[in-house]
Amino acid sequence: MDQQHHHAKPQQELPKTRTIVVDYLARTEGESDLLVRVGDRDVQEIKLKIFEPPRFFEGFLVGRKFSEAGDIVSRICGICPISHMTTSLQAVEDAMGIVPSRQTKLLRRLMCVSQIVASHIVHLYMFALPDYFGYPGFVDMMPKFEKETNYFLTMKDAINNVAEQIGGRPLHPVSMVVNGFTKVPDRETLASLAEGIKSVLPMAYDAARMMSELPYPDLQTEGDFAALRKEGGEGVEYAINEGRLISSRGLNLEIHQYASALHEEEQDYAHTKKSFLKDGGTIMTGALARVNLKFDQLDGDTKKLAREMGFCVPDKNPYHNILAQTLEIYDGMIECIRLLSEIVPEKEKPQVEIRAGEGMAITEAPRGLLMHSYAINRHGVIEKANLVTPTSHNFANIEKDLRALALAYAQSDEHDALRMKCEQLIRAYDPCFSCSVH
Amino acid sequence: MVIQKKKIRLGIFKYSCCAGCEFELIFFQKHVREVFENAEVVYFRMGQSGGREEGPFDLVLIDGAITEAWQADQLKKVREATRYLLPIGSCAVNGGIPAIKNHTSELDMEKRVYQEISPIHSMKTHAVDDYVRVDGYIKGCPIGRRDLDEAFTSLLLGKKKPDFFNYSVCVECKQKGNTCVLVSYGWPCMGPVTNAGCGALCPSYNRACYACWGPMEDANAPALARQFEKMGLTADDIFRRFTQYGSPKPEFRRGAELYGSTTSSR
Repeated sequence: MDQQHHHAKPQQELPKTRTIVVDYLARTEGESDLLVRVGDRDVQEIKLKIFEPPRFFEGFLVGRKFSEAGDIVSRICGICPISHMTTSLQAVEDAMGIVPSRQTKLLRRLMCVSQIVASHIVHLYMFALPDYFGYPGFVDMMPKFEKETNYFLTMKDAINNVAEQIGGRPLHPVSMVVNGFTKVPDRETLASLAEGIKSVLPMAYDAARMMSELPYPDLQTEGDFAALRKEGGEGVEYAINEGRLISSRGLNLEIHQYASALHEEEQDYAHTKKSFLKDGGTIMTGALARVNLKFDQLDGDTKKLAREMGFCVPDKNPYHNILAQTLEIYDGMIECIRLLSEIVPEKEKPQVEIRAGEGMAITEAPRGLLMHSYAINRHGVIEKANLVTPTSHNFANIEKDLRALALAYAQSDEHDALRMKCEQLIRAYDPCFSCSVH
Repeated sequence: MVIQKKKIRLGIFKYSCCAGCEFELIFFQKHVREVFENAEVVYFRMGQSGGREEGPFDLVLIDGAITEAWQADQLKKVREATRYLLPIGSCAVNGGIPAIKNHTSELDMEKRVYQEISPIHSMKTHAVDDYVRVDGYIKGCPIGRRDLDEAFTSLLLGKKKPDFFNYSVCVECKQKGNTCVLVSYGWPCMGPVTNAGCGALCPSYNRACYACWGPMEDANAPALARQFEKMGLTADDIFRRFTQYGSPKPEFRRGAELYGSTTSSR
């Protein structure tokens, strides 16, 4: 791996070869460089060099107590801590044969859906939007884009309040533990959170319409879309924490069979491992995969919004992951309002009887499929941990799409245009390199 | 005091961490507009393209622990280019969660995660102040909003020293009128040795503090560790309590080493 990444200079250009080097890609979570080498008729090299430093979560979880795991793994990610926490708690429960209450599941769903909405909001405004308006970042846009700034600040506060009230703080919440919540909110709190989200729902609608009018490059991914889905059609909940692992090319598995379908391979130029299907195929996971695979299970109003945006499934353009995120922001807000109205909280006593065993869980994190698996001994101490994050799942497919993009523009003279399109493509996937290395 | 008219030339650098403290700055806290209206963002890769890594800066915030040599190299250069430098969040302040690995050899750690370890260049986890002089700490996991506001307003007002929290979580429990979970329920609460600023969050949510803000200065960890032993915790459990956060710092290390080895065997 190139350890000189922050001083890296564009390599000497070979004859008839163009080299694009992006040194520390901006506006993504975590650290990566990009190297693209294009010849006259072919693409010679594509490398997404993820140099995010390894933190060894799978290594140091060994020897830690089951009860610490949720708090520890939430620190893998600063924007989807609730997903890591929930997946970890569910994997521990699976190992110990614990079945949490219906209320626990509903509250977790509420926390996770609110986090998906929050994560998409920060991605759209802070990371993606500046590309389409020609700004280095959203901070520079703020003084000139008053409406967007107001939407961003108002929506984020309304949705972050959910995890803040239920979890104590929106980032690394404290109330979520194995088999329950240490504290549950009262009915009035939930009602006021619902009111808060209702007041920003029109903004989410408007933001989706605005985003649908931006110019997205044309590209069709060859990746297999993969997501969790609950059986049944319309009216069945949009799977987040439970469901079967399905794909657009016919994968349909109980989640415990995960390892029979997907495996990871180490790379010498990146700290992130790459996921592949058994036949060497690659998957795309995240908002676009979910919307493609369970469009029927979105709320009726969300489907209406999609039609107004001209969004048709299956949509195979990876840049449209951004549009799928806007749909999930709107749909997620509706789902939060529904859950906030439905839940009548009763005090929980999250008790655990320690049992040795192996367990795993898969959930839909904001950026896609997230898998945790543990082996726990009879003292409740973790002996083995394996985690696969959305960006590890997407890594190989991002490079495949970059290759297709570079090929399409190999003849083009617009050097900077290709670099920009590559950056936009990577950002459209909303990668989290911190998660992917972990 | 006069509010500074010039904008704060701000640099934000991320090392080994979850980037949560940067997300707190741009997304979770309530004063995003106010902070950035008063700042000229000179370098912040997660937030904007380009920027000038070499500064100059008025204020640099460091997110994350030091686990690779290039981070220490860059950090030293950044220190020279800024008036003030503050580590933000537990990883940068005390090593945080990434420092859990320090109690196992690097070889074992690398082997547990990668089959081919030659491309891995990780070192023991260090806090930022192991490598450069710092001008204070914005503690928390994620950073506390009140200390964040205090840092920015102090700089804008030309205050000599920001008034950061420097007492334990216990004080916040007393202020809130919480029942003491350590004394009354016998839970292994880390509150007595942990820096305040969270508003005694965990005890307010019916659980024991797990020290995510790291040690309060001069905390007496051995006394609390011995108390945990009296309460019936195993040596391993006590060791884990004092090594989840901030074990590179002497305060917690003194508690942990009574019940386990804080240095790796190799």
